[in-house]
Amino acid sequence: MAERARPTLRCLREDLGLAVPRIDRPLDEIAHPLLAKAAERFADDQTPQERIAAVDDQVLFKVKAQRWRGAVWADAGVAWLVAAGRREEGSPDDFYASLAARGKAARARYNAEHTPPLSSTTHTGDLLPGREDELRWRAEGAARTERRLRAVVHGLVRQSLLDGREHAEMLDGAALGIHILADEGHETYVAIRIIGSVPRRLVATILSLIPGCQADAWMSDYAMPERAVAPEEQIWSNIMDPAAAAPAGSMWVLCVPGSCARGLAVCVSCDVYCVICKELRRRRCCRCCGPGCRPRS
Amino acid sequence: MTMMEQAPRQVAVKVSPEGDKLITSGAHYLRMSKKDLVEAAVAFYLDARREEMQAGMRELLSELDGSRASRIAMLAGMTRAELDAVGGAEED
Repeated sequence: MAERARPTLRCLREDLGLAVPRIDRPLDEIAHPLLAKAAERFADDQTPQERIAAVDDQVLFKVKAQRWRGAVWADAGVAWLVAAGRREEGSPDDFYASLAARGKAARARYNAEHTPPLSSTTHTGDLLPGREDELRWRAEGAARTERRLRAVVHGLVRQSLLDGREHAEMLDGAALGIHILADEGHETYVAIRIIGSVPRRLVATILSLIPGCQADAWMSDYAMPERAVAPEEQIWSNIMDPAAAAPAGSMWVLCVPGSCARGLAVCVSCDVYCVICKELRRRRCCRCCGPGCRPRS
Repeated sequence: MTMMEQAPRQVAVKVSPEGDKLITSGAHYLRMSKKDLVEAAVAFYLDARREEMQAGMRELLSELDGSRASRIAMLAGMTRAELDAVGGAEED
């Protein structure tokens, strides 16, 4: 069963004549009648498929929608649209005849350059998903991961800034915890703990998402504030600039400098909290932030 | 009422015969107990590896320029040029 239908980048650009969208828009979400038909036909294993008989080096299936004709290669839950074209008037299977002719020409070229020669009558391997398709697939997955990571990290930062406690969340089998200590009169300290086997690139991305921290100042630690390191846990710490951290949540505003008796104040939406003045935390409206609040520019 | 103080719990660590020989001769040479040598050596080794780990992390972090595209390229294990070639990322 194919969970989704997507075109190869070559097919998208050359056959469908569409521009390659940004990676935030997955290729299986492109609106095109041929892709919609492929997704529908390959959603169920029981749906009978018509193989393109003139292509014998790969198992390619026909897919038809309006005047569009396509060739689908099914692999690991994905129906790849590897070639497409329009049916010409008076020639119902013109596209498939062209595809076979292209495959025969490619076979002739291949056999002229390689030993042993192909025994099939066609060579369509160059149409199948290649390196750029694999890169696109990975990039789409990474874009989804980045969006989720950013929301989780900024959410944990915001929660810890508000109550000074460690907050944690599970991320694909690993636990991510953030603890920010904004003690009065001291620097704001941030500790990140990760439990589980996590690629270093993911750790680097998490650290880079912590606002208000210098990238080259991260330290690997043996303990979290107020407790020792746990088994299979890695801990990173840094000093945070709470003013720079304010934009982590889009709703955050920064009080007018000087209106807080103890220094900088950071607020969240209409619930006003002061990072520095501990005694004012959790109050609906604190005296240092009230009418003086304005959006951080 | 007097309370007996409990001695800190100690645990056994299994090492190979070759490792045990090394620890024994090292402890003799440095005039330390085997236990103290092992603890000091582990702390020393972890410190050394921590430097290495931090340096590796700093190198990775230097590849990130604060843009969303750089984070996505990092997560996907590809270069920015490769990312741009397959569509590129939208910045928020």
